[in-house]
Amino acid sequence: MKDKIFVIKKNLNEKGVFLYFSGPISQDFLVEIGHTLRQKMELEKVSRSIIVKVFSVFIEHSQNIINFSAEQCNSDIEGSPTAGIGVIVVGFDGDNYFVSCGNTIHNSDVDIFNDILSRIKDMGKEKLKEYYKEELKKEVSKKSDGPGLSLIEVARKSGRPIEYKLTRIDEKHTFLTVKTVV
Amino acid sequence: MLDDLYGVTSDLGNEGIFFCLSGPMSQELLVEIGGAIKNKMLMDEASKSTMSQVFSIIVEMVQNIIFYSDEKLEYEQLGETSSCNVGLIAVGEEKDSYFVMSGNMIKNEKVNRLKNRIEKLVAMSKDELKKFYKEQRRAGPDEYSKGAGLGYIEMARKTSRPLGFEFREIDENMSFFSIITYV
Amino acid sequence: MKNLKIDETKYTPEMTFDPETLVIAIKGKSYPENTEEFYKPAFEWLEKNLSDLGKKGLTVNLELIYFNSSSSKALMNFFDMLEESVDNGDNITVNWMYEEDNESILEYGEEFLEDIETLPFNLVPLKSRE
Repeated sequence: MKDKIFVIKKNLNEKGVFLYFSGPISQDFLVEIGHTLRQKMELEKVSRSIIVKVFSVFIEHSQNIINFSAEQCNSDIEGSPTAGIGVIVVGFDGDNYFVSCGNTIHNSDVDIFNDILSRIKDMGKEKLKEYYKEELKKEVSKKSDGPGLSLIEVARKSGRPIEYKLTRIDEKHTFLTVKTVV
Repeated sequence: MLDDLYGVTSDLGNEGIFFCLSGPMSQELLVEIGGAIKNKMLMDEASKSTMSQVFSIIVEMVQNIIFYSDEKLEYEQLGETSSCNVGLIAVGEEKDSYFVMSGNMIKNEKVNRLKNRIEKLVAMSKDELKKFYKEQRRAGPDEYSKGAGLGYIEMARKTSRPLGFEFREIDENMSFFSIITYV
Repeated sequence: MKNLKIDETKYTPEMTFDPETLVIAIKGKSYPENTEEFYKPAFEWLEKNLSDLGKKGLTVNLELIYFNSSSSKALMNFFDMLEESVDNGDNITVNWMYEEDNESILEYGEEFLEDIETLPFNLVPLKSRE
């Protein structure tokens, strides 16, 4: 087991990952990790605009985990936070910052994610903006939040087309991974 | 990374690890780490005393990272030098116990001193640990500790199996130090 | 006398003094980043007022749910200070309160008790809150 922790660290370092989290994410938790992430980048004198982009992509991804992960960690105790289980990674590959996230989704939601992600993958800035406005109208009228808006937001912040992958786990669950390069 | 994010996560899951954070640590983040673990353990219906033991080990480990990790960024704040220190903390379950482990970079010149200190604790019986804890609690902190120098003794007293630890040399300056406790 | 009033935070306890009842109450969790710095104002307040309060009869109620190892050291220093006062003839009582199902707090209390000689130190069970 001790070996494990060294191997994890070694892998993370090799890939330039400076923030790795896997486990239950709640809103309060997200705020504090986001804060250390921001502080670290500020100390490294990363430009303001990159920090803002990395931070906002990190927030959108984390909130998608809270809202849409099929694995939730909620005790019945009153006042305990809503937490979704997932993994989130932030790193620097030598040229660019990247933010990746992963979580389990229900197979019944696979089409929804696939539809949105495949559409935004090839969209340019203008198209994304149009799509964003379109989704925004829909969401407002539906009065409910889907993953659409936040994924489009992520794509708009991304310097390159976002990459995604759906790995089927079993007859009920699929693992969704999304990578954004800022 | 995209390709193996699922792999990494299921690897951790296979080891029983349900929480793993590697990155800059802070006191405020520690509060939230504690909250997240508590929430998960409430779901598991863990006993209050198990929860408080796990929590207490997490606090000692994360504060050790905050104080002693040599992977850090220093900065000036209101005329005082503060730092943002990086480390790793993981919590998991194995059969009927929980384990908490942490890892951080440490300068090679500090390795021997820390290694001797932990080896000494590992060799002690429960009673010896208690006696040593009390002695240290009354003594002034040694010149190297920012806390009370009681953190590792506390871990050694709480763990239900001997403390596991390891130092791996990374390069001529740094080693990676990891430690694991079971509750 | 300047009153002692320190508010509770997510990782530090509330500390108050009631001049009517002559009770110091410390309540909550204690794992500050810098323990010495956090407890400094309380220790300074105590140094100033202890001899006066000890003569009138002082009660210290501790109701800690959790504290880290460096806070444990601060507590030991605190008890040593109170004990010295008792040895000089002052009247001080410490009540170590613990929730019935929080064994570790009871055990810490028992361990402090083992290291205390003359300071009156009571272990007081409380009904569990949850």
